[in-house]
Amino acid sequence: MARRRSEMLTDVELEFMIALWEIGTGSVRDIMGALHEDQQRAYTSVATVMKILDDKGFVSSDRKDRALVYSPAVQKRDYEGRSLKNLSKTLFGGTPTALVARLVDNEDLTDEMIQEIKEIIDTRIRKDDG
Amino acid sequence: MLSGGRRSFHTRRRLGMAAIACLALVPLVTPYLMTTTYAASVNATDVAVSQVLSGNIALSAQEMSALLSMKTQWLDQMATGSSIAAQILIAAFGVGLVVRSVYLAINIGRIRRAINAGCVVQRTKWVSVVVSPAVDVPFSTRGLLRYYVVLPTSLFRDGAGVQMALGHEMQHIRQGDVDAEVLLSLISPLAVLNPGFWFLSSRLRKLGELACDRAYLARKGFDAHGYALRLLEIARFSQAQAKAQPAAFGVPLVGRKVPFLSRRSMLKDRIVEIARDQDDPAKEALVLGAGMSVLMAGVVLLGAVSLTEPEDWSHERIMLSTVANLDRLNELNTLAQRSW
Repeated sequence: MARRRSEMLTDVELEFMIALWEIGTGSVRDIMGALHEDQQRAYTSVATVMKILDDKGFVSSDRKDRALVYSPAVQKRDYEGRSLKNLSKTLFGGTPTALVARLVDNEDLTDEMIQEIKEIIDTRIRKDDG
Repeated sequence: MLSGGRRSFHTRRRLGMAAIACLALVPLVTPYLMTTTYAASVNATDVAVSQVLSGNIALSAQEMSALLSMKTQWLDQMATGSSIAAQILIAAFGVGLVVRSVYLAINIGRIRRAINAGCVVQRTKWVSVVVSPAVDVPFSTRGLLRYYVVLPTSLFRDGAGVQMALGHEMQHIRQGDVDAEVLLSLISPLAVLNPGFWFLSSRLRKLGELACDRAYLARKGFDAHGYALRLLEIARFSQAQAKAQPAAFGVPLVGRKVPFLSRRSMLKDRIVEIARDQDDPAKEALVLGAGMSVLMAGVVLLGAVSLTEPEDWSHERIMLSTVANLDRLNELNTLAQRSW
């Protein structure tokens, strides 16, 4: 059952997925063993991230004895294709910023700035229905 | 002129564009202008040399000669890459040129994708209006022969919003903002290391938006309050969409953030000017603006000609060189006569 849906993996999630793709299937301890030395993390951290991956639908889990055994639900090749598609969407999606005249520019408007602008509109600009 | 507080936005913008257009034309027209009889009499270098020879500028002849040869030496260093500073500058320019060119290519891809993914809802002789699901902010641009106004599909829930966005973008096309934006973008890879260019571009864009808001709202029957609210709504929607993009590649591509120039909210400035226009309408001095643009063009070209190095040495330059050489000989003689 998915808790939240996201098409893409975070950096840490990707590390664990790569480890799982390498071993094919395994428990939290197996995945920890497949991680590179410089990627070692606490058991509870790995278990938490694997639970998130399960919720996201990237892995499936089966209980064997008392431990959960994880298997990839998304194949590596499929994820690579998804990454490229996402990169293309990021590069070529959205409103262009150069070579065009846009109605509004991109700005980092904070809540305070939005409220301030709203107040200026409400208090200083009259409605003109003519 | 561009960063002042005067509210003649269209006039200020026109002056800025006149200055940029003349600067772009300088390499083409300078050789012709230098052949005119006036060019010789307006050379700023000769005036400065003449002042040094007259003793009005506290520089020795040798110092002035070194100053005059500095530009040639610098250009030689840049051409041959003989110093580390020149090599660093050339490398920075090369990287900037490539990065900016890739950025423009990505934007061309975005524009093509937005137009191809959309549906043409209106087509006149020069303008196509496209409704596209691939964008979140209305924009206008141009191809070789036609202008395009691209409206996001999400805007079509709001009929008045469509009218407002279309009117605003058509005004941009009418006042030449789209042509200017495309031209500035195309020359930007060559000016990538020139902070003055980015400053001017940013100011011209802002003045264009302010002039466009004013011209649009000056028409009868357009509601400034609703217009301002829709600008805010579209900006918020655009910001939410940008945040939904993955962080990698997303941040540098979604904004037009120019360092040190984007701390003020452009949207807030636009809203404030709309409010000021309601309280105290400002009129654009179109005839005066046109006259000032011609004057500006003349001043820029005159300045360029006066700073260009003449082909032949003038009387002043020969005199300066002679005095500098005599000074050097004098120094050598003094050294030779000194008893160690």
